[in-house]
Amino acid sequence: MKTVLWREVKGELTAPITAIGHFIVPIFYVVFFAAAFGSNISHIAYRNLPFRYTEFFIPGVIAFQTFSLFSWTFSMVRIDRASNIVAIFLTSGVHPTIYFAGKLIASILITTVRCLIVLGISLSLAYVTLPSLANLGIAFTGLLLGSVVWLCLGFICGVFITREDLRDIVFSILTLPITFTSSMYYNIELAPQWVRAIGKFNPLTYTADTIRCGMLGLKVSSSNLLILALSCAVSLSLALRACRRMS
Amino acid sequence: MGVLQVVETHSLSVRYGKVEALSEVSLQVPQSSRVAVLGPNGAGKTTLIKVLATLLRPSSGYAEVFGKDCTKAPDIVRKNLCYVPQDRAVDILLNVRDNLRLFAMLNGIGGPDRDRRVKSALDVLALADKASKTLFQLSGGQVRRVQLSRVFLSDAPLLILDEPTLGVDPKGKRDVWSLIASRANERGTAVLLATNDMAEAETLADTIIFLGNGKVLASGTSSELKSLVAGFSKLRIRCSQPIAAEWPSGLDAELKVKSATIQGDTIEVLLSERALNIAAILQVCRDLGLQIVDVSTPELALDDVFMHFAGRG
Repeated sequence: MKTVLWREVKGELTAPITAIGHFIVPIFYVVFFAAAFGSNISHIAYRNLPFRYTEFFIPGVIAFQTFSLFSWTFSMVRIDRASNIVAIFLTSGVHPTIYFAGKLIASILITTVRCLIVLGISLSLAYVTLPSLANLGIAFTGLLLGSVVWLCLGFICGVFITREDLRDIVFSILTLPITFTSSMYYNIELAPQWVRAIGKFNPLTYTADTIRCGMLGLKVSSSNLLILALSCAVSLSLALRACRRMS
Repeated sequence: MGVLQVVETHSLSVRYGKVEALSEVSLQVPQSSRVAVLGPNGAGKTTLIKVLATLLRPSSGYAEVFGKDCTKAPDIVRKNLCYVPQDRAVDILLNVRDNLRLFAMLNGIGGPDRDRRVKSALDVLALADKASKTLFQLSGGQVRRVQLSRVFLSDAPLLILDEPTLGVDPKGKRDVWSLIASRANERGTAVLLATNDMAEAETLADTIIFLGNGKVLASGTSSELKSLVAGFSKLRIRCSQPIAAEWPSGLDAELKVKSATIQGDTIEVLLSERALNIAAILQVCRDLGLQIVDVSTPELALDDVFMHFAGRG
C-alpha cells in the first residue's frame, strides 16, 4: 500500500500536467466563473432564502472538484492499463484492491487540498464567509462521500472502457447533463420538472447540496445524506467488483 | 523425484472467441537456463508470456512456474518472476529516477539499499544524466531502457521478457543483450524471452522454441535448429534497382521454394533442395522485369530456419 500511495502522490503532485490540473484550474474556476457570474447575478434564492451568488456558487465549485475525479480517475486508470503499469503492479504482487485503495486515498487527500485552495481564495476575495467548525464538518462529509462516489465511477469506467475514442464519447455525453442536472451552478429547485426529476438520480445534486448546506450554515436534510451515503456504498462495491476483473 | 522446472506447460491452449492463439503448447524451462520463444507476429508468443506472467487464464491445459500453477496460485508465482512487457511499461507521470524507485519498491527493495541499486541501475543503463528527465524527454530506446531497469531492480529467479529490444537501435540492442546476459549469469537467473529477432534469440538463449500459429513447431539449440535446414540452400539475387514486384508464390512447389524475401534490391530464396534449379529461378526474376546484377549462395543462418517455419505457419 505504501508503494502505491507513494506513486500516486508523487505522480499527481510532481508532474507538471497533474499539478496544473489539480491546483491551477480550481483557482481559475473561482476567479473567472465567480467574477463573471457574480458580476451579472447578484443574488439567488436557495431554500427560500436570498444568498449572494458567489456564496451560492463556491460550494458548487467545491462539489465540482469531487465530480472532476470521475474524468480524472477514468483517464488515469485507462492510461495505467494502456501503459502496462497495472500489469507491472499485478505481476509484482500488488492486488488490484490495493491499487484502487491507493488511488482512493491519494485522490481524497489531493481533492481536499484542492478544495482548501478554493476555500482560501474565496475567503480572501470575500466571496464566502468562514462557516463554523461543525458546518465545515458537514461540508467535508459531503466532499468525502462525493469524492468516493465519483472516483469509484471513474475507476469502473477506466477498467471497462479501454478505448480512447469511447472514453471521449462518454465524457462528451455525460459531463454536461451531469453538471446541469445537479444544483452545482444554479438552484435546481427552480428548474423545469424534467430536470428536477433527472437531478434526483444524480449524486452530484446531493454532493453539492450537502456541501452548500454546510457552507451556508443551513440544516442538511437527512435523506440527502442517506442517499449520498447509499450512492457511496453502491459505487464502492461496484468498484471492488471491477477490481476482480483486473486481477 | 523429477527435477523442478522453472517453467512447465502442458497442452496449454488459449482461445480468443473462435481464434486459437495457443494450441496444446507443452514446454519446459530448466533451472538457470535461457529460453527464447521465437516466431512471427501473431504466432502466440505474447499470449504464452501473458499466461506465464499470470495475466491471462488458459482455456485448457496448465502452466506452472517453480511448480506452482499460474491460475490457481498467481500470488506465489508472481513472487518468483520479473515481467517486462512488450509495450511501454513505465509511469508517464514520474521522472526516470522515480520510475526506477517505483520498480525497486514494488520488488520490496527499500531504504538505503533502494537508493544504491537505483543509482547503480541508472549507471548500468547509461541513464544517469537523464535521471531527472520526464519520459516525454527521452528517445524510444531510452524509454525501453527505463522499462528494462526492472530486470536490475529485481531479485526474482525468473525473468520473463517480451520482445525486450523492440524499437532499440542495433548498438542499443547489443548493450541490452549484454546487460541481460550478465544479470542472468551473475545470479543464475532463468530467462524466458519472446522475440522475433533471430540475433537476439541466438545471443541470449541456449534453447530456442519456434512457435507458429499457436503451436510449437520445433525446439532445440541454435545449431540443432540450423541442422533442420541442413539440406536446404539459399540463393541471393541482387538486382539493378529496388524491387517493386511480388514473388509469384504459385511456382514455389515446382521450383522447391520454401520462402522468398524481397528487401530493397535483393531477393533471397530459400530452397528445400541442394540441387538448385538456378536457371529456372533466374528466369522467374527476368519474367518479373528485373535486371539481375549479382547472384550468390550464402551460408544458411537461423533466419532461414525462421523463414522455413514462418512460411509453414
